[in-house]
Amino acid sequence: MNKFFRYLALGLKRAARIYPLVLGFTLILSLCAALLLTSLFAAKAENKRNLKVGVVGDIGDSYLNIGVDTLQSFDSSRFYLTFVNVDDEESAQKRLTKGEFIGYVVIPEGFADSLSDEIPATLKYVSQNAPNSIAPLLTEELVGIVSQFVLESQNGIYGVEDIAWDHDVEIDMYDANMTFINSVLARDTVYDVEVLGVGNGLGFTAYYIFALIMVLILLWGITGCLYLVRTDMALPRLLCSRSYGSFLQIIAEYIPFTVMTALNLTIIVLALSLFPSEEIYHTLSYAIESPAAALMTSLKLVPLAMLICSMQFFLYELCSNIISALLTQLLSMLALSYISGFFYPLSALPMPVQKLSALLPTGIGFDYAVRVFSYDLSFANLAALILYTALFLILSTAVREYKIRRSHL
Amino acid sequence: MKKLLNKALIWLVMLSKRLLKKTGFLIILLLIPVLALFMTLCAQNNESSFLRIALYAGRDDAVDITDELKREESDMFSYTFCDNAEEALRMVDSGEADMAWVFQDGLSGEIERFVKGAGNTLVTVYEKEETAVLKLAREKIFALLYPYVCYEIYNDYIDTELGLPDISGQERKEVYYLFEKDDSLVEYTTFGEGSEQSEKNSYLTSPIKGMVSVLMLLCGLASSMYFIADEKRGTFSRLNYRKRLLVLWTGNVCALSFSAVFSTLAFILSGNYTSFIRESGAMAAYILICASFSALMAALIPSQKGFSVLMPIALVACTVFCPIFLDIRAFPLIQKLLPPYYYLNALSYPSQLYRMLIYFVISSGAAYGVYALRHLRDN
Repeated sequence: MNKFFRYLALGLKRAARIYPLVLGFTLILSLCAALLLTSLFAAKAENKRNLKVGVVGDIGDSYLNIGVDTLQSFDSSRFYLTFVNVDDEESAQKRLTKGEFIGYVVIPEGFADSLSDEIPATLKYVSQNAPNSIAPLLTEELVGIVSQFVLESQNGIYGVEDIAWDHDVEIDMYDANMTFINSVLARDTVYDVEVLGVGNGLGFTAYYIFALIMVLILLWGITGCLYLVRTDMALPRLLCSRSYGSFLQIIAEYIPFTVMTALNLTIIVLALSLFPSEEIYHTLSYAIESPAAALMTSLKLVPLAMLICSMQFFLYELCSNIISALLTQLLSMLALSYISGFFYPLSALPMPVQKLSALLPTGIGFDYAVRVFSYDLSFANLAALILYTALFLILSTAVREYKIRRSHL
Repeated sequence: MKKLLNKALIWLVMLSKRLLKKTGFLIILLLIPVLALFMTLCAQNNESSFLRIALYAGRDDAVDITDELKREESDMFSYTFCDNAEEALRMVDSGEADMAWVFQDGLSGEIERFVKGAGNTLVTVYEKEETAVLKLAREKIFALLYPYVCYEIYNDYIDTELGLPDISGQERKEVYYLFEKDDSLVEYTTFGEGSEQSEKNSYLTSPIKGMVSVLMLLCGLASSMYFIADEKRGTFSRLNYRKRLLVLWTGNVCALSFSAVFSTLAFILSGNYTSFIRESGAMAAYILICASFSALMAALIPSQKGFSVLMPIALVACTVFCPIFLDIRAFPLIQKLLPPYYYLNALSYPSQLYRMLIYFVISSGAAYGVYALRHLRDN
């Protein structure tokens, strides 16, 4: 046992020498993650929430003009869409290319008059060629909805006008316009909203915070290639000859690796506790309400660090040079992150992929992380986590043993 | 001249052979089309969408919103029609749906009362939390009901403001639907090259080009790493520093050319391939800038361990700052350092190709300068 602790101590010393580099790497990655979160969630200013849509052309002095102006001035949707008048389509295209606009609408000449024609002119809505972004999809939906409002309102407004004319009754067209427009503006009185609270599941913000934590843990493990990759088996063979078996070697090398990852997690969780943003605090609340709570949370996350590190350790054992190890870690990180729903929400992926994700180490780890922060630990989840960790360590031992025996030949 | 060409060809073959013997490199090459195929299959078999809505449409013969929703094709919303309100609520609670819309029974009567100001709300929306996306989704509810609400407003206006309650229902309908248009008021189009292709893509396959471009960059960086390892072993010790830089750059071009072939295959398999000229032009320019970028990184960080720290950072930076999953128009300085940013923009706006050429010139010059400085310092 003494021998084991001596080798472990050596491993810890080696890890301590490399840790400043690992920490620097962690901080850079965490900064990237923080920048991403800031871009996605921290846009508090009103004009930052707005999606700007350019308007080319003039809808003339019609009820549509009143409607659009009113929509911009009073409606709650101004938090999502702002219409900006532009002189011509070329200017609109330039601003679209630069990213100032999410799209622009082209109103053809004589549009307002054509609405009563059998085949009216159509508005042209031009969006960015960036279908990977959700914003253009959302804006297209909104534009479709606005189109529906306009067409139906037109039916109503022209309808009452015709009825009045047919029956020789005076009609105040402005009043008629405003009746229909006001119904659109008051549309949130049509529904009641009940917010149930996050409960058993995750909100959008929370989901991506946890996904980001998982991606960070996967990325930290890549620094293991600095000291875990073996290009030759001379040292393991020597250790074997001195009764340090493969399993002891694996454990003694695995523990420092896990300790570094656990330390990184502790630093990040503590940082969240000391410098919380409103969004993160709202999501993680009690788990990081004080440094003591954050430390306790970090301790509970140690099994997660053990699971991911055991998986990465096994991948390192399979590789015999630093480049293969690095590429293997990066590619497995990319593949597992996509399948486990760290890029797109898992619910947006097909059902077979969702079921597969629940069986993968990253899926189990994600579930465990969520449970830690929501104080809902499950024995089954923890057992799966421990089993996977044990499996990877046994497989690593088998690979190490095979390599040692092969190197004898 | 012939001798020079022969020599260049021998080097090209040897550098290519050297790469193709590396298992890690071959795995990346094979992964590119596999990844694209997997994402394409996911998109084809996918009944999920960005927002899942559980819906109880209420019981009313006069108002039927389900037909319209069933005909709808949307990447944003998918609907599950529930038999009762409790089932819809359960789906939200269990996370099977993002929100539930529970419409009142006897909706036509409720709409009439609502328009007159006497009724209750028509729909109850259940959601787990308030987000901007869910708020926008609620706009859809009114859009569904508005044809019925608008007709009731029209009826009410005729009765109260015009004072003509005796007008028959038949006449009202005829006049109201006189101006009805089947077509949408809006024609949708996207701006930029390849837009006709992008309209066929789902949001699940749209990041393929971005992810493949990142994998290609990985190939370039991996090639630089192999060069660093070989340089350390003394493989190129007989060459002067200029020739070594040329070998580095050529090796990167070889690696990227192989990955370009597999990338093109990936685009074809996933239906992301637009036209030969556009794709080839952008790809050729991307090979050049990736080769230069990788050479510059090798010149700046001449150690495998340093590269092992650089590569994940480059991967994360590309995923965050390049328009792959999100189009974040922020931190332009960082975006402009990353090759995939130029490639993805050039695909949509070919006029941006000139920027890739400028990037190539600057990064090649920088790589040469740094490599020369290192050589002078070492000697």
